[in-house]
Amino acid sequence: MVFSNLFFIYAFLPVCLLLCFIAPNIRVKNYVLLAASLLFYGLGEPVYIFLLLIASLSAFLFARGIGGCRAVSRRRLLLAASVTVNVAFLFVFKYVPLLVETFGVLFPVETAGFPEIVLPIGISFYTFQILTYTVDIYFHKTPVQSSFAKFLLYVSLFPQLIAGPIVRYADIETQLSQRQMTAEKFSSGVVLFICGLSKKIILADQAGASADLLLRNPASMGALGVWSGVILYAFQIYFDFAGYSDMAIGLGRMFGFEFKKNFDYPYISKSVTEFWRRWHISLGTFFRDYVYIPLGGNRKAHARNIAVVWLLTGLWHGASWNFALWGLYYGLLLIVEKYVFQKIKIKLPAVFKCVYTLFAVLMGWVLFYFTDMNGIAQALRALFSFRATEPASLSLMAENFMLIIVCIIAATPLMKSLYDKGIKRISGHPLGMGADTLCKLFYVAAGLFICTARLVGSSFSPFLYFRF
Amino acid sequence: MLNGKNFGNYMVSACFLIIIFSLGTYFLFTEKAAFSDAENRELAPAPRLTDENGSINTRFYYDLETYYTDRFPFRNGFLGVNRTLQTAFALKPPGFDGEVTFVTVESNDGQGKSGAPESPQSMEDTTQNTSVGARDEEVGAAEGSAEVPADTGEVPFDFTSLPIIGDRTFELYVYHEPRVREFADAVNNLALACKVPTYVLLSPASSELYLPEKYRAPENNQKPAFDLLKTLITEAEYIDLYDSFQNAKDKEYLYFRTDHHWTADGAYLAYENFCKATGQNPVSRSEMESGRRDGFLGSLYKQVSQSAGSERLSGSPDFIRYYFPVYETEAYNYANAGMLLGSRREVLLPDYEKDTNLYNIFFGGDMELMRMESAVGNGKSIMVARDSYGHAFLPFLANHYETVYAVEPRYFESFDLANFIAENQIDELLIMGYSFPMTGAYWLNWPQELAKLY
Repeated sequence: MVFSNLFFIYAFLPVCLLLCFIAPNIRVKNYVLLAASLLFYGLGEPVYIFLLLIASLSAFLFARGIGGCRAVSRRRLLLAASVTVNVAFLFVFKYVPLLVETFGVLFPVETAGFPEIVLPIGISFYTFQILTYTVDIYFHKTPVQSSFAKFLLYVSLFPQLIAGPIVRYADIETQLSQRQMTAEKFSSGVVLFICGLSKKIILADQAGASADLLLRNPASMGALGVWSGVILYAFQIYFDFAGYSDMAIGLGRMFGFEFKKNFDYPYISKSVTEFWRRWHISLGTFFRDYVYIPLGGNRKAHARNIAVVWLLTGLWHGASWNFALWGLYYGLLLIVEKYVFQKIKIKLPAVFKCVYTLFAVLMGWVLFYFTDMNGIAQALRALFSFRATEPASLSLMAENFMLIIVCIIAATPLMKSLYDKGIKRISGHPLGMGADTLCKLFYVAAGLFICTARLVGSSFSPFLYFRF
Repeated sequence: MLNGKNFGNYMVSACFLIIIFSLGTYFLFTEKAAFSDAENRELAPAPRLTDENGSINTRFYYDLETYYTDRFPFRNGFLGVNRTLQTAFALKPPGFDGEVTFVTVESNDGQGKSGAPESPQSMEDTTQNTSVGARDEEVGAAEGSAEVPADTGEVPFDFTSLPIIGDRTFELYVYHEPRVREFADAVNNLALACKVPTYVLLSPASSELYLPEKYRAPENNQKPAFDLLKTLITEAEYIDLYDSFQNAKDKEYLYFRTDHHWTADGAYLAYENFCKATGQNPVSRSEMESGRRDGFLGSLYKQVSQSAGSERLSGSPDFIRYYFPVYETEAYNYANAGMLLGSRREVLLPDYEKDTNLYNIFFGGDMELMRMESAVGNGKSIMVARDSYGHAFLPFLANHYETVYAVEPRYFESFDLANFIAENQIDELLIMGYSFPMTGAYWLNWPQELAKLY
């Protein structure tokens, strides 16, 4: 199930909220949420839900073993076993098909009898969540969870289950037993949920539809058309993913949870390094804390560590070699920024830095979008050619003019800071508070109304990150 | 005690909860429409936990989602809002031609008219499915594979772009030489098998006449297909409509702007050409009683109705003119070649109520096998193998033939046309339709359809 569909918003969510409201204590609320989460996942993945349960149970039992043991070697062995089991699931279901395909190309052998593997929804996210628990237990950063139900609730909690953010166990450990559903949290959750829903439905879906048209055949498309396509795709992927994170965080708040921010206006970054501090923060920090630093960070074999981390980051995004290339591309850019740009002490105006970053990121999205090298080459050729754009794409670009303007504004903190300033200015006034409430009421009602109309109009469209 | 801030929080929370709870509850207790007039399609049925064989329906949840979206309260109102939003969003910057829109539609079976044929008795064009979305697509593909005739040949192009130029929208034809050759072979084979004078009459699709050159790729041109066909058809007489349609395009209302069919006037022009080829005198339009119905928004409009640019179409709908045959005429439809248990059909239904598809004014819609008896009293008969372009054309034939038979091959698994012609002592055979039989679309494989007839 995804959030941006009518059944979720008007049937699943109200029933969940109602049951959680009437549940007398946190214990019952937890069971309600657990049942809802398993239903949420099981409805969409009636078979693979068992994989989720097995992965959670194995990690739970291994962690108990690690927690109850003092011998370092034995602890390490248990950690290795737990990590291996979890990563093996991810590997088998996500990467074996890629290896079989690649192997088949390199060494033409009969692979026809190989069973078809379908990627379970959300496996990339929940595997990493489970890993944070196991590793944090090993390093004594968090206490061992004694209740499997609570641990399973952490892994399967439906707001963050299928497309992140990657919530660390340590961050919500206490919230599993102590949290409050307050009007303040609830209303801020509502506003964030509507904000995310609008990003996904109004901006991302529209941008995505046009991007697909403009990029489907770059060989025959003019330069302007492909540039517009790449820009629209950049907006699609951002609003899709950031929208989903907003919805997840908003829903979490409605149920009393607090998850960390996952996106922080990445397209205003002044360097690629900064971009990755603002883009998918929970993934970046995961790789930093659980791969990069254990490998030695910048203290030893720095270049190797960066290469490994970014190769993995790339492959995490999808089991296809273009994602590996995309990851390595960023690894290379980060090394260049660290070892070249930082050494050259030239002060450039901020606007140049932003343009450079955007250019680098857009080129990255070209690698991300096209899963075959041929497509990448055609797109790059088209981007830097002076070929005229044909009428159908010109018309499409013109139609998306407004959308691009709205996307540019929505991708910067401009509106938020204007709103905050405005509200601050009138906050002393007796009507100030009323104005804030009225604005939010209007935003929620109008946002929900428009999104509902769009959902009715276009049926639903799955998230880009749905099967990551 | 509530302070101001908390009051605001309660208000915002309450607003959200009231909306989701009230619409959610309303959904449970309202009667749900089964058919969407706006989209001209059956809405998704309630999901089932098990399939026909009693095994568990693994797609239950996705069926439920589709059902929920399809039957959502105030669906038509929300569709209207969505259309308005779409239009508002598509404001073009100054300097761009505001009259041109390219609408993307998910490639479904045949832009809603010809893929899996609807039941002719229902008089509803139910094949149209304007919903989009990957999940739907999967479902559609699964269903389609069972119903759409298997065409293993490649589909070398897509039909995903519908241009709206001004207040007219088009299907984009795409040239596919193998299909043209197959079509010609089928025609030749059929003519040889039937052993009666055989004529072929194909109308261009409207894009050939009205889609400006600059919005066409070379493969969108239909002329090469007609030219090739002319040389390949050896066993039947090819009636060339191309030039007369080109010449008349600015003087006559030949095609609907919002539907993929020709008008009765377009059909009349074809009829004049047919008469010329068969040595008959066409009845002039002024001799026939006629009428018109306004406010027709056809199949292509329905395809693009949720998109910007559609307001230009709905702002100037088509009208339908119709001409009664000069002789008393009765029509019957049969579901089988034995012509048992026919049902009476009116040739023209000027008061046709269903505003979803006014083209059904002609005969009330599709028919499997039609027999039309006219009081012309000359004993002549003709068999017409045709597509839905025939609806507007067939009434004219009643002026010249005492008995007109018309078969729509897509409604038959097989049909022995030669035998039928011999048994009913039919004098002539006409194969007619429009140029789309000569594209590579999997949803409309005319050579394969014609092959059922011999």
